[in-house]
Amino acid sequence: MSKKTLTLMSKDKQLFNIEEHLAVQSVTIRNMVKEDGASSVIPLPRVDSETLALVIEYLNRQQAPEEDEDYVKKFVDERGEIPTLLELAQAALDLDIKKLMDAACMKVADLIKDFTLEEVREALRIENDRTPEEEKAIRDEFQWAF
Amino acid sequence: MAVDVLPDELIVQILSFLPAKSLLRFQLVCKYWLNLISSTRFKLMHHHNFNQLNPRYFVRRRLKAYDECYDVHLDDEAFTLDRGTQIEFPFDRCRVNICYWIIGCCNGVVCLSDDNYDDEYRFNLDTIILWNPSIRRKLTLPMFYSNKTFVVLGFGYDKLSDDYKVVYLAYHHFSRPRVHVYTVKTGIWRQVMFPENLLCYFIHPNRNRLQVFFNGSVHWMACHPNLTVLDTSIMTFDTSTELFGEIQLPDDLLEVPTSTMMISVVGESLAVTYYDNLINEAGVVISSTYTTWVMKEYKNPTSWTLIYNMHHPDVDMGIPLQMRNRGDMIMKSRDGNMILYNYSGENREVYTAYLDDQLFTLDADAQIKFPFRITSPRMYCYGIIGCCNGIVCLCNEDTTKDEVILWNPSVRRNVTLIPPVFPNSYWKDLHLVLGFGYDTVSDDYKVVRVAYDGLFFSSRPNVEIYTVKTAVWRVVTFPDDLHCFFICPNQSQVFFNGSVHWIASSDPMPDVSRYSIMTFDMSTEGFGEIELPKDLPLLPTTKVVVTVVGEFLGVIYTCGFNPSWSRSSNHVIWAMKEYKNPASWTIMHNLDYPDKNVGRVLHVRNNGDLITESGCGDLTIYNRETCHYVYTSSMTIMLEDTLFVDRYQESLALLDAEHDAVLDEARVEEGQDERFDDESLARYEARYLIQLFGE
Repeated sequence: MSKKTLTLMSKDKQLFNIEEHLAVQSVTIRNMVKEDGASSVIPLPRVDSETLALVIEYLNRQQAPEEDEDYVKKFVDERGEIPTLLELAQAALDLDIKKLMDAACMKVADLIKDFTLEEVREALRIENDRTPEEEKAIRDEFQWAF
Repeated sequence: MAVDVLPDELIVQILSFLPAKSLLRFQLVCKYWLNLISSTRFKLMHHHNFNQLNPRYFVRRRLKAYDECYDVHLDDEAFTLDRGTQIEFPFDRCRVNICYWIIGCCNGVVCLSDDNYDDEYRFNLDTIILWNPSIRRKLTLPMFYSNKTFVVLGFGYDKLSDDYKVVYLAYHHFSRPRVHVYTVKTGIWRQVMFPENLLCYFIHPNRNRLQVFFNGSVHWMACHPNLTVLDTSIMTFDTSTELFGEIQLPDDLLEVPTSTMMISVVGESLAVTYYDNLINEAGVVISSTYTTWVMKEYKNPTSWTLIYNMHHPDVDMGIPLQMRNRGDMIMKSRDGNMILYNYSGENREVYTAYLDDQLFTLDADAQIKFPFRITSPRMYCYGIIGCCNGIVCLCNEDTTKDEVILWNPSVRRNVTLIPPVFPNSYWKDLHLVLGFGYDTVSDDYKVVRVAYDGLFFSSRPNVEIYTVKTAVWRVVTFPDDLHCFFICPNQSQVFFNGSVHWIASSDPMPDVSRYSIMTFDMSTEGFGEIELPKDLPLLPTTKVVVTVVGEFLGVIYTCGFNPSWSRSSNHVIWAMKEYKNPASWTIMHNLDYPDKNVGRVLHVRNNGDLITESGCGDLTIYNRETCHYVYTSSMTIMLEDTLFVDRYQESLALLDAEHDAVLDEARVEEGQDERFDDESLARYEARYLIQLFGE
């Protein structure tokens, strides 16, 4: 029996092929395959091609189940840049690949845990909507944590 | 690169892996984060995710006097100290005990209590505190009055109501306990019914491992209230349904006393460890056995499975504190150190030991045998009664003096004596003197305990003797004809020529002219008296110390000691050339130091050098001729018996518990129960007398 291949399309319209039995690790893809057989190309409008390449690399891994945990960890460790990890985590979220998302989030958490507030806002693209007064109240309360 | 806003789901996921300390700071990142971090749903998710990633242990040790030291250790191979989590102990020192009792540790909140029991298990519960060390928040529970002989506490977390609960079992003697439950959300104590059908409901108020919280329930080792009926089981309290229950123990443990069992959680199962020490005729532990069962299927007694059966034929392994998930045992050695045993394979064990020093360093070459150090943890709270044939007799000075230990430092073995016949208590206020010696006739070590009634000071004391071979206390009559029968407090005994010697007085008031030496013969078990040398006039401030000088019994008369402003000191050292013949008292040394206060003389060396304790507690040796000190040692004093280990999980609990309600009125109410009448006034006066006398 020949292995069925699926085609994924990134935000920038690049096409990636992947064997179906590997692709269905993504719950999103699995549901799409179930629904309409997914004969055509599956579009992923929020995932850019670099990230999708990473996701495909991850899905294609040939690891024994007992080594899988370590592999995921190593996989995200090697891509230790916060922007890359966030893209990866977002893609994993969209595609519903829980292990990959958890690992990426864990890595981000580890990287930002000693950040200052400004660094966190920058890294996670958040706008400061707090007034200085509000900030001071919390700063005073938990001074030891700053 | 996209500057899109990240989906909330992703933010939540990332934050749930952060330590509490970072989260406290990140509350300030934006409004959304502040609301998120304080939400219940996030707290639960954080608790699950963060702790799954970082399994850790909570450790409390006690190093120097009045220093409670709390640490978090990673659950890794080497049990390393987690330096990222610095715990600051936010409380005042507790009022009653030397440190808080730790009831339990659950979802990041530690439950502490301060209380005391006397020998009749009369109980004073002073404080209960819930403490979240990760975010440095604490909540002091309101106390209420209840008539009880003692209280057992339990602490757990109810998932259904997302609430922490403290269960308070007030036992009145051996009857069924009256139960109250405190929940953090309501902030009040509420009575809960205790079932009539539980057979094993008596929980021994033993302070080591009282409870374990597992699978939504608090678990205690309980036994039949009639202590002669050997029946033991696990009592449970479900924090959600607030119902009590019972879990049957493995068949092999059904008739084992609860005091030799430890309840814990191993991996995902409830576990019970039984430990048994074999004690030889000299009273030292010669072998130790530990067996651990786990309950593979919760509440199914047929699923108890023996997982460890360790027998150490020649080693005293200590008391188990916790079993780690990876199967290691964390133990407390007899000298108060924390040891981690690694069990790799069923029969072969490798262990690593940690020195209980400030840095908690790994003792690379320690193979259970710790180097004997003068900075022993016993030194502070244990008084040394005496030293004889290589065995040191120690007693716990800080409370009742009822804990007596015989310790052989060279083989690192020790034995704790059973409680005496006339126990001490805070109410009786006994004035106790202990003596320790060796009886050559019966080849036995003996401890003699002389108990004076603190109220009726002039009455003759109750005396009892413990011998290591019989391992029991036996009452001995005190002679009526002894003139000087009041042993002066705060001084050491001397064991010499088969007898214990103390300085005694015929009057409880400090009057040096009425002193003599009281003796107790370890073989005949008779008391006697030896006159002091009378050739020298004794000043009221003279300090008299009994000692051994060379081969003779000796005394030291010290003038000028005590007043710290005194700049001079004079020490006359006498020796009794012929034992029990007062005519043979001879001055051996007369040491006059016109310009030096050498402190309290502890001992005279054969060459006449003085070993003293200076005002700041240093041990100093003074050369007899030059009066220069030849040696000085600052003791780092540590306390023992305060080690505690439990799994530690970080959480954000109690973050919004602002109320820190200390109801001092409730405490006063309890105090009033003990009438402050003439009797207690008299006792107060008697206590004052002892203080005077002690000086």
